[in-house]
Amino acid sequence: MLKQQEFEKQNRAVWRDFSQLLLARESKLVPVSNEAVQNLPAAYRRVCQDLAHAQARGYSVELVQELNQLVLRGHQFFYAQTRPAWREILQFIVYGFPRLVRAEWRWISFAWLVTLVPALLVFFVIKIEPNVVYSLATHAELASYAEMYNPSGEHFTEARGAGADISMFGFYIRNNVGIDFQTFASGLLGGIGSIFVLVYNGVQFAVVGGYLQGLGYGKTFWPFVIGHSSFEITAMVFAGAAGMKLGFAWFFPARRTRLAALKFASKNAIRLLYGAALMTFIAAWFEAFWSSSVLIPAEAKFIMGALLWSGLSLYFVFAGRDYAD
Amino acid sequence: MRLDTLLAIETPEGMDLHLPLAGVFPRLVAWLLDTLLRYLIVVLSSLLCFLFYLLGAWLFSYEKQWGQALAGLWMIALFLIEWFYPVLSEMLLKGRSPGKRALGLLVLREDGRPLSWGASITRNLLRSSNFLFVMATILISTKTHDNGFVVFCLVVIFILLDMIVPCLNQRFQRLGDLAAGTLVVYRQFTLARPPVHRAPAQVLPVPLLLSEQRLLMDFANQTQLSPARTQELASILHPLTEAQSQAQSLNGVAILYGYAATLFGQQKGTKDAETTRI
Repeated sequence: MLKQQEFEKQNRAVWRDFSQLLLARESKLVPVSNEAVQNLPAAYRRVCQDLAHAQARGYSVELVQELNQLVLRGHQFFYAQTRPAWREILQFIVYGFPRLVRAEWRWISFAWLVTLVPALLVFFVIKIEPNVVYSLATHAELASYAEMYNPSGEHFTEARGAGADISMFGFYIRNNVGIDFQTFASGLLGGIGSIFVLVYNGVQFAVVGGYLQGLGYGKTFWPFVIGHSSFEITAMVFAGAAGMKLGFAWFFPARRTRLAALKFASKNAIRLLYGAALMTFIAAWFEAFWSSSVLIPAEAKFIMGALLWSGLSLYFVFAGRDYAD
Repeated sequence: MRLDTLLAIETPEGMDLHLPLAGVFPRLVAWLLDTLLRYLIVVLSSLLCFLFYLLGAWLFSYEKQWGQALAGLWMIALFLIEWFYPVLSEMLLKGRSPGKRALGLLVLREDGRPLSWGASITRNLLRSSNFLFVMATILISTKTHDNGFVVFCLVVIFILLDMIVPCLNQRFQRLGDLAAGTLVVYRQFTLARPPVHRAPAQVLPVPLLLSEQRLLMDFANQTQLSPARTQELASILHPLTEAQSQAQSLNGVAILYGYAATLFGQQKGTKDAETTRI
């Protein structure tokens, strides 16, 4: 059997060359000749063989460690995926996201139901019996909403400066996208957290809307929300659906092991979340710069709202159908 | 009984790559360091925003608008830092955020490949600390937040969730790692070759098994034992080394080093300077 010393003497040059070649390719600064690059796979296989020999023959730990490290570097070099990011993002927006939404229509429909059914129930109950709002929200919260949407209040008579718009933009991004991420993460426990967030937000919306409608402030409230709500509520529903998908995968793994089911679900769930986050960004923009603008008449806001809702629906139903798989 | 935390990954070439897995406590310390660093960045960026505000207020006359606009940008910055500091620090620093760097850790995918953006985002968004806030909202709205015991239990569960799951897992993966298919390993360094044990090569009196040869070579390479302890261990093999030891008037340790030199490949009688390094 070849002794370690002789083995090292024979192969040290090959290992050193391979290591330097990898370094040159990784750093991309040092030019490398074509033959050297073409030899790279063969050199990697040679180093793998040497590691196998070293392990089998029981050479010293230091040598095995060194070769292990070299093989790991080679492995990472050859098999790391480098995809151009912008292209992927564009593809996602153009056809990836709508297809994903269509593929996950079951979860998304369930999430819509979970959001809308309690919300509509509460809304109609408030219409019938307005005092119910006081058991669902505190006086202080309701008073602050009333003050915010008062048609003769300062929010609707003075134009808000650009600075205030930007500050609200930042606030909405931090608040809303953060909630989307938390909705997703809290789905991990069987989807319970996501369901709760969806129900909670739906009911909140119904309470505020019902209350303000009862006060007669509908003409300030509905134009405000109709525009950005298309993006924001849909995104929240998607984030909830993604969370539920993840949570349920663990408890109902179907034909896979639980772990494999979780991994499989998380791939599409995280992509759904990307889309939801993107939509929430757009919603924040609309909310900060469009919805709260005093200069835009209510009719225009309604028209824009209708356009956005129908546009989004068309996008999710029809976009990406023609692309060949 | 194997005690190593080495994970063997099979590569497409049929090789077994060995990765040393990192346990719960190093990862916890790394996470604490990263959290501290994140707060530091938040403080610094807030200071920076404030300085910009002062600068702008001095240059422009619309102080209020400028302040509000900066506040908005500051909130976006806060959002990015809160949610994306882990992702960015892992991806831009090659899988080793500053906290992990301090502990010598590295994040890889399960098959040994480096992190991708998707994997990094998945594993960092699925932390138990991320849904604590939702749970707090649940507690408050179901009015159980007064019940201290319930709150305590929930907090304990959620903090430990990220510490219990790795311990139940063969690869020390927490929930985010399981979903994203990532591992946290120690970054391996090439071990330094131990100092020279100069000893003339000795012929082995009996053929040895591979494990016994390995043992002798490791014995000759180690640097941690004191000389007295080395002597004590060498005396165990006294029956083996007795004859040669007396013949050459060397002590047992030198004879064992000589065996190791032979196993390494040094020829008996050569004085090649390079070959005395084992």
